[in-house]
Amino acid sequence: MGKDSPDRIDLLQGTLDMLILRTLIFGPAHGHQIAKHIQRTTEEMLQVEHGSLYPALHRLERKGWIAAKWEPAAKELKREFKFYRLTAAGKKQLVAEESKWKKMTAAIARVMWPATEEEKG
Amino acid sequence: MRFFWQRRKQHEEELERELQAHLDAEAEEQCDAGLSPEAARYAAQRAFGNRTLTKENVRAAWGVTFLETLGQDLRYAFRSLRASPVFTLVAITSLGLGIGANTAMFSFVNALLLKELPVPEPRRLVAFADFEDGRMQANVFSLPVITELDKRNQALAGVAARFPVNVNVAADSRSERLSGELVTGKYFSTLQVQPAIGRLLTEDDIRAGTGNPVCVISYSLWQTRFGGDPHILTRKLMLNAHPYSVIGVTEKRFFGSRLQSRIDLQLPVSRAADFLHAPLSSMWNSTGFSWLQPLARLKPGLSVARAQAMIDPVAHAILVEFADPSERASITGKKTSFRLSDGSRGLNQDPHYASSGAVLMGAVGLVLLIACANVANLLLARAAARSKEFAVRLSLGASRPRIVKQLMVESLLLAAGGGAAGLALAFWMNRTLLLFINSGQTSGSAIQVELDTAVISFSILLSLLTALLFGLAPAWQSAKPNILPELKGVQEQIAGLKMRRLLIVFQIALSMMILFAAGLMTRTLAHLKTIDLGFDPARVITFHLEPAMNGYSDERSEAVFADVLAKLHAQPGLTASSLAVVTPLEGSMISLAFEVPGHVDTSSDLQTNFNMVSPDYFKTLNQVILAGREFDGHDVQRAPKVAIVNQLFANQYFPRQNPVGRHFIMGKQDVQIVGFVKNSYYQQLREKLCPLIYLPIKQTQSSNYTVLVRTALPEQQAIKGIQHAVQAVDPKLPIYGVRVMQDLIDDGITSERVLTFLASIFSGLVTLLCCMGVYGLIAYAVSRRTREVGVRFAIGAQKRDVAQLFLRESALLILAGVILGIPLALVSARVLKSLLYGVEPTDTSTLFLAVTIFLIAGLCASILPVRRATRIEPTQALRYD
Repeated sequence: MGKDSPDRIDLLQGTLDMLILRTLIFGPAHGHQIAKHIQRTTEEMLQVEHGSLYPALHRLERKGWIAAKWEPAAKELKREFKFYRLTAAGKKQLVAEESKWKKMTAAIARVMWPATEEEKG
Repeated sequence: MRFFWQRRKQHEEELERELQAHLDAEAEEQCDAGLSPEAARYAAQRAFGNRTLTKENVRAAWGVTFLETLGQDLRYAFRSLRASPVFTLVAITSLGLGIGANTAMFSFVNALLLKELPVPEPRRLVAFADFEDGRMQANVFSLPVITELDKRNQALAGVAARFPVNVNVAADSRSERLSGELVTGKYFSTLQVQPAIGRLLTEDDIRAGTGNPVCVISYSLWQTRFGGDPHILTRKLMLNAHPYSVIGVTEKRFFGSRLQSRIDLQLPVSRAADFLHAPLSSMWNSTGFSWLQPLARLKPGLSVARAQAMIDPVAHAILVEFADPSERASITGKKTSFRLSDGSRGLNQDPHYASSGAVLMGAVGLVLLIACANVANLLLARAAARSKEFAVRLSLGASRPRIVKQLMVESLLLAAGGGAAGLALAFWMNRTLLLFINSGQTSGSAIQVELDTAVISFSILLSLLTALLFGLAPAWQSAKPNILPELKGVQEQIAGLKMRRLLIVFQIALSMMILFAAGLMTRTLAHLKTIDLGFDPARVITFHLEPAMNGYSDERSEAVFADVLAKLHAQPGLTASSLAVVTPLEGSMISLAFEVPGHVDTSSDLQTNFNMVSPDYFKTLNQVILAGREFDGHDVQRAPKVAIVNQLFANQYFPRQNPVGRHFIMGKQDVQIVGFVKNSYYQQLREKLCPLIYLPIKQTQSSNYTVLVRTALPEQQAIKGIQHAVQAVDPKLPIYGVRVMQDLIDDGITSERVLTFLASIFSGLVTLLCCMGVYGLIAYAVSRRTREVGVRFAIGAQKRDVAQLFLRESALLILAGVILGIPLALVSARVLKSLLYGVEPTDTSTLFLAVTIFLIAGLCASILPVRRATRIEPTQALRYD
């Protein structure tokens, strides 16, 4: 039996899932827009690998966190794109991922910079 | 719903579109940034990276569904089975034989014991019988009782009844004898049968029955006898020489209220006079004549128990009311009622078939088990040969359940092939068996055995079950994660080998049961066939005539028989002919009371078996007259009463004396014994010989005879001569039941013949399967130990030593199977006890024979591989691998 997707999700991919969900908060977008948005927002700090973006999109779709629909892009009607949209389940998942991420960064921060963390706390 | 491979294709197309759209969007952006369209496209592709890899990763994200892997497995299984055609052929043949035998047997059981009447809601049909204090009194009723019950009860939607009759049907100057039934007015409405054309009998037809005679015929009679004549409803048929109008034809699927016979005509019960002998013919509507078999339909929604409770008081009242005045008082106080029973299968009498049916189902079950063991063995051998393949797959990350699943798919494919082969075999077997059972009989009483949905579902279920039975253990065994030694080429598969040995032993043990049973049955049949009957049935033809059914009076009837005998005499090639009331070994009998003056017996009244025969009876049958004479033309009504007795009668009543000239009393009349004949079998082959008295037919009252003819001609020619002779007397008189006497005797032992025939076939099959198993195992042992044998030869072993090595292994296996099989065979043979004749179910010589056959067959099967072992070249063997 083929290995199921969760086994292959490493930390970075998990992060990518969260970033995709977060991007879709602003409304439906297709793969190219999502990639561009993430790159621009992080000021090109994060390069989204297309080799992982599309598998991630399809995985999220399969899990029911996002839904897809073929639609023409706004400016030109002749070409259709596969637009992804956040589902209710996806919003819940985003909240869960966010809080998990916050806890994790906080925990990592405590290990890395114990003193400063205490001051802030 | 779309299939998974179609969905898959659509996914692929969409993915391609999506990625292309991404590239286009990226290229456009680069264009806007000032690149040429060409350069922009390359830039976009560079930015995107490896497109194929992306697709691969997306596909991985899709995952793989159960159905998709099933599709793969099916394709793979198909390829791998095609790659080893011999294995596939042998496996499918073994399974086909097992499943086919089971399906054929089941279709008989289905036809005889399970099938329901082909009418709407057969489960609502009930039969009933008269019970008094829990004991059955009668299961037939008078017409007034049926009518009253129908009128008064609240639980039954209709109460009908019928009585079977034989009818001479004459039309288009041809006449034949068919099965019919006299039916009440509610017969068709209760069964809810529809007409194919015309209408069916109703209450009005019964009331009008005495005026205008009408009848309903079956669809098959309409089609076969009248060629589907569209004007059949305007035609008149001569039934027992009375003109009848056909008012309708029943729907195609309906063939009477009994499953085991076909009824071609339904007649109003009020026309009984045309079809029954006097005095019954005038009593059809009297309360004193209980004769009708009842069939009723429950009202919708009523359970049998509820209906029973509603009927009890009504039935009791009717029984009291219609009882004989002398018995009325005693019945009133008793608990009497009509007890309802299941009528969904019509008016069938089953239990007769049940015992041999059970024996045969058991036997074919064994055959299937043996076939499964055989295929399991083959699969284990195959698994051993493929162990490297599995090791590679396991080491590449396949899980054990995944490999088991794939092997099970292979097994299912084999089982499906076996199931298909089995159905074809069952189709053939059913036809052969039916021919065998109905040898020489006309179509009227044929049972309907067919591959209907019940039978086909049975064989599909059986195929699935066998796949589990033979496939699961080998699959689990071969998917054992035992990677390292396999990849290294160490060929030891001890567990698999143990299982294979066990299977062979098990197979031989089960086969012993069948072989032993077949041996016992063969002996039984041989005993039955070589019984000295006391007469010679060869070249004797029997047939029936019923002139009374064609309107002849009793005296004219006698004259018809006399004329027929005279014409038969005149026919060349017919050496002797005579009449008898009881045809020997046909199953009928007559028992009467008599007294022997001076004979003191403890029992109050003497009773023995009788036969009424014409002159030349003993000559016709070649039965030896020990003293005295045959009856002759002088032994008529007015002449002194005479009789002929057999040896047992003489020994019992006139010991050590010549009985000729002695007297006995019958019905207050003195009878003189004028002849003394050899003992002969009377009713059936399995009986104990009994004292027998023969009386001349002219001195008794009967009008219903069998005609017996001895001939020197070939069978068909003789039958032509007989038909010629009868037609010369009256061309409208149908001849029926024409049988060669040997067939008649064979019919009496049909179940023994069928059992012997099947048991012999099965035992041949299972012995073959066992031989294949032994051969396979020894061949495997030889190939596994090739190197060892090489070493043995190299250090000086003789061919004999090597042969001994493998023969010992095979002998041990066979012996283990045989030893395990002996008690099994002895225990299982007990169920055959009632079917055996002249042989005990513990017969040692038969058992010895079965053991010998297995030892010889098993050793023969091992000879080929053992020879191969003795020819192993040490140099080659040591270089091997």
